[in-house]
Amino acid sequence: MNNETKNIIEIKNLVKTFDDRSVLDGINLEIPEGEITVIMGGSGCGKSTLLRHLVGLLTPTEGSIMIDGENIVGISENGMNCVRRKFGMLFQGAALFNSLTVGENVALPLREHTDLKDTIIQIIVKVKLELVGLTGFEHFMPHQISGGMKKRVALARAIALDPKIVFYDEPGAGLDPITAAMIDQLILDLSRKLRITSVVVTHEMKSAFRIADKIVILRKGKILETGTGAQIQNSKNSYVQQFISGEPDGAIPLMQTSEAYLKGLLET
Amino acid sequence: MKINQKLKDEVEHLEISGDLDFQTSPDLREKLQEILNRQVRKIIINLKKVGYIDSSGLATFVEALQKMKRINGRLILTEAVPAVRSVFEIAKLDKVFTLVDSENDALQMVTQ
Repeated sequence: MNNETKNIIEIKNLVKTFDDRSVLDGINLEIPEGEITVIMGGSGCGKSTLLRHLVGLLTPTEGSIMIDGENIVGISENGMNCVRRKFGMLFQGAALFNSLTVGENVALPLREHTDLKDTIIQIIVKVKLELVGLTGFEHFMPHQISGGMKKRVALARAIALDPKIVFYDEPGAGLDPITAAMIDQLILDLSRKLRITSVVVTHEMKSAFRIADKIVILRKGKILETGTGAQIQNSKNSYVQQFISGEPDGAIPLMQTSEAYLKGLLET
Repeated sequence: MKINQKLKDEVEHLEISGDLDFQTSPDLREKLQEILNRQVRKIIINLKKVGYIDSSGLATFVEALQKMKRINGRLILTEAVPAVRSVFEIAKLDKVFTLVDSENDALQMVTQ
């Protein structure tokens, strides 16, 4: 990070426990403005839980989350609504409203959060659809378009309000490799052109190396390693190497004999 | 956001200062509407004091341009700072708007 880049998100000592199980265990992370940060890790590592904290859907057990200078932990509903105007979110399943046209889906945040006139909203919708390569599709219904196109519509909707930050939850999930690569290219383009800060949660290595300025690897609710794509690729950490190569056995045992399992069996 | 306005030789000159965003662009729209209602056919908008423009600002100019085209009018934008100009470029709207570097260039174009 150069000296002129500020951190738009700062997470300090973030802890989340469900009952007595710790899902996030003291996360400290800085996300630089205008860059693409990819949060990675295997299933159950806490990456989705971390994302839910960043968008205000979960409240931490401990710690603070500063977004654009504002601590969203303990913030009022009104305060959170103001912070939400600063970010867009691309949900894993695109989450379009099936009863609304493509154009109406993109227009939704503009109708909900602004007092703009309909003619202005219609123009903004056209501009956003052009940015995701879907000019002319505003009258289509979601069921009439492909999964990749749905993701692009969802992206157009995520950037409708000109957010400073866009959060992506598994953007390539459910897409074929070519379409997933296309979505990656779009994330790159939009981030660079619109100078948007992107926070991408994924478990897909290829995608991470394609787009990330910074990769954060989570394991068991802790940050295991942080670095550029090249630094992660050259990591000496055996878990990171196993994760990159996708080997079934290594630092993460394929079959783990749980002590609790044995204890449970023997005690009955 | 402030708008300075003067009508000279049938050309409406606007100079906008401040950010053009979701909060302020409705005021610009109202101002442009008022000018268009007077059947003004030549408008020059100086953007040198606009540091930021968002999608709603952009859309407001697009709507004005659509209306000017219907009456065969001219709408020219001048002296946009690079950050503002790039927003037009990203949306590929630099091709539909006339963006010029000086008020004089704009004046020459509208009086041709």
